[in-house]
Amino acid sequence: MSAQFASPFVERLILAPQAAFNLIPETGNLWSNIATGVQLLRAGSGCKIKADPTLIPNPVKAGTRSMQPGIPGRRSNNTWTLPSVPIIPCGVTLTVPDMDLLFQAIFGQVATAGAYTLADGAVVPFILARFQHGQPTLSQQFAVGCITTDWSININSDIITLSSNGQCYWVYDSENFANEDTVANGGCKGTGGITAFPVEPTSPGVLGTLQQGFKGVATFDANSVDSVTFPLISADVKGKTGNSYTNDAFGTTYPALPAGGRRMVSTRCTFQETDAAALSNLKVKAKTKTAMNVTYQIGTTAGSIITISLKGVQLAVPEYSDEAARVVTAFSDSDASASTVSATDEIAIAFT
Amino acid sequence: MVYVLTHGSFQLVDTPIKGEVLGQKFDLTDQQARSLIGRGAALLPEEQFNGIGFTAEEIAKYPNARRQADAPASFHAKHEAALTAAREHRAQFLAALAEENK
Repeated sequence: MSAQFASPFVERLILAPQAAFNLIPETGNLWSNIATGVQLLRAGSGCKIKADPTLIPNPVKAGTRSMQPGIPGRRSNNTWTLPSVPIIPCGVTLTVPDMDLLFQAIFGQVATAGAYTLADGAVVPFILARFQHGQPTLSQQFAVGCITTDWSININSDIITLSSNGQCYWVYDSENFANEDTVANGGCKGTGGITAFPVEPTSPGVLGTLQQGFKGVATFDANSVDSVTFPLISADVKGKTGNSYTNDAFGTTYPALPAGGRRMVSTRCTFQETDAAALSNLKVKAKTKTAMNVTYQIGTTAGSIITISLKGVQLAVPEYSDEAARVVTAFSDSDASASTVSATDEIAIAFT
Repeated sequence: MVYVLTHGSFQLVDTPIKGEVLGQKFDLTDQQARSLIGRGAALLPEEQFNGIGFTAEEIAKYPNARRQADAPASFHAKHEAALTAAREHRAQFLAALAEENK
């Protein structure tokens, strides 16, 4: 009999909440795959999950120039990547989308009435699992303690998407589960942990449908773009959360308590070059570094509107370039900033 | 138990269950209801939905958010009441589940 092959199209990605970065929610020592918050993620190709322990080279002189085998080092090289995940509003106003956990991980807290705002005091971890649907003999991966480090939202493409990546506490692979560490050794297996590789949730529910990414409104310094005088050609918003695991703690091979460093949020925007007063205003303020507010509202139907509000954006001086029949004015990475020292409002995202 | 969709759309993957329009009815098992309501689907038990007082004409005329945008205030009042009821029902549903899992 030939081997079972894997197809990129049978893969299902699952997001699930965690109470702590090194704990897997379990019932009877099995991952609770029907717990509230366990969610099928409607994503395209490109998800990558990797946990590759570092290798400590053998430092001992061996009487030969040849390399001698090293030993496994810290489990600090654990990463996840989710590129271009469609942002699909759930269709109900003031309600978070299915990909809620990805936004919580960016903002550091749960949304209030469908609106995400930044929090300084927490790092939100989540589980990201790759299941080969209905094919349990193929490699399945279960990443624990995923924290977001970098993210970006692509605006004015066919579908608005979120790309994000970050670090994980550890990744379980179905082939190697039997060899993984128990809770007592820093793993998530055994007493107080799970005793079997997690099972894919059955019949997961999803809310909302794909939306076009190019319908909506954008405002720059209180001036709305329009398709006649002030056309916005492309834009994105990106950020770094500043989150990172501690990877040098004594007593464990695994990462320790994640911490939050400086976060960064920025936007890039490109306009068709015109003599519109609204565009000239941006060029002037780019040179003086005058802070302004920028809003991208994607979608126009209630329940499917995503509004990204940026504060204190200091635009980069634009570059002009020829692009087929038009000249475009591109403001490259321009940082957003909090409105006051007591605010964390450089970005907010609302689903309405 | 029979539930009625009050807003938005949803799909229960691997099943034919797919909600797209206002007033659509579904006979759901406990696990299916848990999967959908737990994730935020705006479903209301049939009896409660009937109590809101939508007319058959309103349900036919304003099936989704795009059409509802142009609906009269009388419809919006009922729709808002249905949505609020669905949120309250979800909160009670989740509280009952949490109690069950204790």
